Amino acid sequence: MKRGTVTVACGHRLTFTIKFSVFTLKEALAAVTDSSPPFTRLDICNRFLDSVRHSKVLGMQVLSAEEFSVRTVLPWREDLVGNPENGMMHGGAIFAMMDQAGGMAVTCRTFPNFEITPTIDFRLDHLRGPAKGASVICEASCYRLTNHVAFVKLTSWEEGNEEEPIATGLATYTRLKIDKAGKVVGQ
Amino acid sequence: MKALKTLIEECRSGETDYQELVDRVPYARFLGIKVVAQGDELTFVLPKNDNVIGNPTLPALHGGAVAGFMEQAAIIFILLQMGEPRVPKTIDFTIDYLRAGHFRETYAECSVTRLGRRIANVHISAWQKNRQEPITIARAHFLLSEDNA
Repeated sequence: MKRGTVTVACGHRLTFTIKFSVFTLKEALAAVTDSSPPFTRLDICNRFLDSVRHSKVLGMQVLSAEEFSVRTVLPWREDLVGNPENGMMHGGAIFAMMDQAGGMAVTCRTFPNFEITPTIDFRLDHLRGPAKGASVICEASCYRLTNHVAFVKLTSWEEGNEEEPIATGLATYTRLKIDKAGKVVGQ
Repeated sequence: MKALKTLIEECRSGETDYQELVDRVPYARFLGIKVVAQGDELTFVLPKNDNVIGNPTLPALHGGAVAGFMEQAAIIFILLQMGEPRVPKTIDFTIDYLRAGHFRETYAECSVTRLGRRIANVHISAWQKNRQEPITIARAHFLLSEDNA
């Protein structure tokens, strides 16, 4: 950054002194970064997940978090099986992961603020059963955020087979206006 | 492992506890689901358990855990309803959350709205304090597979 002063004479005995600063582009970008939160959407989603015991116990993880898209994964595990005859993961485990992913999708829209957002309703269609041993990936997107309600759509597929979804969901969440909700994620 | 059909018949006749049927499903054991039978009436129980906590500050139950519990309850319920038991596959599951699920025991009961040849429609209600104040209600469709259990 360059600093300096320019003295401008405006007629007899009247002068102005103008201080100037010239930022380089790099400095300007650094200034913008400094004013944005010191954490990303992915950080907040991870802290959110860490605070939710059931989701941790399920073994789900966050893969990516952007304003309109969150991706999570639920690795296959023996104790999450619904049908012992074919080793297919239980619909309830997939539901629990998708419900959590939906909540995170809302978090990504309210970012950098964190809000408590209980589910109002959730509909899940099971298009096909996931194969034994397959991890399930979920993508959730909060496509509309109003003052009180968030609308989320979700799709899940077996890892490596994004073209053939195994489940689709539609959900609504309500935004609770609770002070200090952010402390859940360490804000 | 006993054939599913044999186990169901034994449960119906009272020879075997319903719990054995529930415990066949790994995910049901993961959640710790219990079943209480009073005659033919079945009440499913999701015991108070740290692993089903969602919001730690309240603390409240995880909505997904309650949904999984209700879905499993419905599956067991249909299995017992069918003359020739066939494994139900979930087609869709729709849940409405009416009240916060507190960190305490949760109960669920099911009613089959329609049991067709291929599709079953089930209503599930879950409560904590009393039946008249459900914390969640759900509706689900199940495909009754061709192959007998």
